[in-house]
Amino acid sequence: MSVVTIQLGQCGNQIGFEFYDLLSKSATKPNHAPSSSFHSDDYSDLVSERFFHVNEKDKMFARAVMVDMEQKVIGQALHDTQRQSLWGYHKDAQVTGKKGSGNNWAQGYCHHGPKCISDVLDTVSKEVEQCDSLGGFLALMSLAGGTGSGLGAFVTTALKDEYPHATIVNNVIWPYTTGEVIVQNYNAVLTLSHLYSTSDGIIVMENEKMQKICSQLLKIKNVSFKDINKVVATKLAGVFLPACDTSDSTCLSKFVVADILSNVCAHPGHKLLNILNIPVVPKTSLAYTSYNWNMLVKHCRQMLIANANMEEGVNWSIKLPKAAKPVSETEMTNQTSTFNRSLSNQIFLRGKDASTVDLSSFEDSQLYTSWVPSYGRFHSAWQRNSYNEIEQSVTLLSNSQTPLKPLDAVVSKAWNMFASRAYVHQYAKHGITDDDFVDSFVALEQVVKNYSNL
Amino acid sequence: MTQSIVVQVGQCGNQIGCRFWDLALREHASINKSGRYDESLSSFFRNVDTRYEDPKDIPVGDGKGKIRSLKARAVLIDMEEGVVNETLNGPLQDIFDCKQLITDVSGCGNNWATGYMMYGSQYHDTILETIRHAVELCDSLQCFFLLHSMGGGTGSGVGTNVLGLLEENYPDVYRFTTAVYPSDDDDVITSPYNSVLAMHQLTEKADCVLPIENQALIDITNKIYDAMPPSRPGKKVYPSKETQVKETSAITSSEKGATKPSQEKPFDHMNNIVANLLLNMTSSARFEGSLNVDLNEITMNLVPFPKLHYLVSSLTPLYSLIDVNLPVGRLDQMFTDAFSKDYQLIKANPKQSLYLACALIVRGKAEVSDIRRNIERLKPNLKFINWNEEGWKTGLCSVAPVGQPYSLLSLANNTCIQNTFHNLKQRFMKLYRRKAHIHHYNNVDGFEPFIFDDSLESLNYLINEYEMLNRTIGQPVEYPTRLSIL
Repeated sequence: MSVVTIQLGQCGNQIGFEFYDLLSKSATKPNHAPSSSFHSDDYSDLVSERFFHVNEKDKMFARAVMVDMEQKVIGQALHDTQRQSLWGYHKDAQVTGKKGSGNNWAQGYCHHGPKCISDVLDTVSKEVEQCDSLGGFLALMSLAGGTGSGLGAFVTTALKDEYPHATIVNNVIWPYTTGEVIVQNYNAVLTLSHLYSTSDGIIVMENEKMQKICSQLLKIKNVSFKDINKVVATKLAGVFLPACDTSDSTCLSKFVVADILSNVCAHPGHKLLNILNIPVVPKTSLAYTSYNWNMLVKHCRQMLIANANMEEGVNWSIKLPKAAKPVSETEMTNQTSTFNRSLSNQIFLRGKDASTVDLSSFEDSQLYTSWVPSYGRFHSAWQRNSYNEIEQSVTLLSNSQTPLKPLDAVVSKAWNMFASRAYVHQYAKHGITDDDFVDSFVALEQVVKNYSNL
Repeated sequence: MTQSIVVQVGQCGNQIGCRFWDLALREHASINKSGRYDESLSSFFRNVDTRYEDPKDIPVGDGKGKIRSLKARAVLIDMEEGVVNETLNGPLQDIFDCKQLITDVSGCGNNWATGYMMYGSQYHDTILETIRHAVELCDSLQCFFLLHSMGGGTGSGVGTNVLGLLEENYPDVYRFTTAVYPSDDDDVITSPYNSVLAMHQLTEKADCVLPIENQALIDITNKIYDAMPPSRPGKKVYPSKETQVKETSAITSSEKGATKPSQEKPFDHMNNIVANLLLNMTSSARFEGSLNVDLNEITMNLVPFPKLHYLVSSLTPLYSLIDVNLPVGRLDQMFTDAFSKDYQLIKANPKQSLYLACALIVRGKAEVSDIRRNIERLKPNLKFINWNEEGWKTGLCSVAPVGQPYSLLSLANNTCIQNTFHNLKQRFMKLYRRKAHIHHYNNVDGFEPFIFDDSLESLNYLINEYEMLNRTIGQPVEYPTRLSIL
């Protein structure tokens, strides 16, 4: 089962590079891996098969399609892969244009989309043909720019039409709240509303939080985009590297994008996902740190409940209400406002003895909204092979209220701007009308409502 | 990669253009050590095989071909021969050929109407043909950069006429205009007329205008002189090692360019500032970086309403110091200075007015966290319009300008620009109330008296719009009610 990645725009291509660079380390044979961690040949074959195809000379090629309307970023990525011999991109697996989208969603969606979609689909189909079986698509993009967001939304829709049975997950990078691109809130609203009707799941990563992880946990002084992208790649790999259902003892299952998504995105109104991972420590202090599974699981659970993105500074005072004690109506509302309620969670444990860990604390019914049946709430998967040089790690893919706050803020800011009519003419130039904007606002207000009602 | 064409009109436009090409060559020479014709060079230069009778363009190809002979993607227009001839006899002569030039001998007599109406129609076909030739040599043209002054006749008149031709014939190609506004004490009496008439055209037909005031350039140049080491006799300075300015690093410097110091002309220092503005603005489109800013992103982010496309720019640092061990503080100082009134290329104080949007383009050794830190630090002292409180556009280009470790270009859509417009209007009214000199305009074929009134009205519109926005400062904000889902 293989996963084909579509890297869209500058952001998508830069993250894609870091993602495959990290994966390639798991896909190499044990002699490359740190001696302490368990790393089997079978596993690296599985990783390799999932994310790469290998040529006669044992060089791995990413199962990825690079799409950008400028040549520069892709050129840089190709250049960077040439510095090492482990893996590369396929020379033909790219679609580029000459002019960028200029931060204009409409230009990406209405102009570049129709123009290059047949090239993109051709290139994708070449990658798909190289897979023994297709386990789903992963689309990497940003919400702020024009190419990733606009073209990304167009390509996602086209992929769904072309491969109606394949699962598509979009990983979207949420821009800094203090602005990277001034029209980012418009672009984000248009992208999310379009993705919501076609994508199977939308993983949200906020630049702001990623930068905090870099500076506070990884102790990086001057955080660069490369650092941030590495954090993103680590989170994604934690979810998408092979793992198996706790019931599966062989640990070589075909647990891929589709299975994961059917576990966490069971309801079409709730498609926003968040990834928590622990531990996150600087490489240099790895040697001096030891963890045990119970502590990692406990911390991860608290991060989820307290809606924190890092284990550092987690608010431990936020607790789930005790189920046994009858609670009054007012108490109930108080508690819902303080803890982060989930729809469903999927945990991934990677490392030695991962299959033996007690995860019952995640099964607490108070953690979940009442209408989700108990079998749909929590799923776990494990993998005895560790990754990213960390012996034991926990990754949690959750469908919870976490994205509610940023989403609400984006919709609100975009709505304020829309009321003043600012920048609307730039979109009208490419055929996006006021009605299109309003439709998008309506769609997202519905999502906001869905999540606040959990 | 996309290409841009520079159209330089009139004395001022050609002088700035001349500095631009010199510094552009210097910049590429310092980065491109291998002498290959690459993508980034191709944005402003063609590579031409001059061994043939009819020189052929050599495409970038795999980026490994050697540079044969570089030609500027430029069109030079002047109704006097002086400056263009000087350029052709100067050190930059090789990058232009006669197919790129349009000149006359008699000048426009500081009359917009002569430039726009008379020469505009007389040279209509020639201009179109020359531009078409330059356009045909591009494989993906993105931008026209129009360089001209507002006060004279040729720059303002012919310049804005060319702008109209570009809009008509190449509507999809962005039109950036660098317009030099006259000082208050400008010696051309009719300069307020010319400026207002030209502005009407800029408001209607340009995608983005970068107004530059002569006085601001003079002040910045003086500031740099004051900080310079005492090379000139008679100037008393007590040099301390740390505060000495590296002479080659000032943004007014043309050191290591093709023009030797002995050939420098009086306005060169000032024009170098404008040239650097253009280089920094296009840097992210030409070179690599972790957060690219393409030229079309500038208008997209900074122009919320079609006609309010006048951007206030500032360049920092003005020079770097000899002490190369730069503390972080100096990087932050660069951000602070970018918002100071002393560094703006127009005489205005953006801090006291309202920001509609602001772009920061950083070159050189800086990371995204440096930008974030500084935005957080500076934000409390800046006023942004209520629907765009986080109106920042940021860019990171990894290639620093020549002689400096890093640099910052700030482009702002700020209501402080209305002061410049307001001053201009007052000077215009002083003449217009007495109908002084208007017969010079009315005598030109094709000019009608209503053009004055239309232009004035257009200027009034701009002033009013900016003023209305500015008035929202300090007002209670009424946010629109969100859509509710039943």
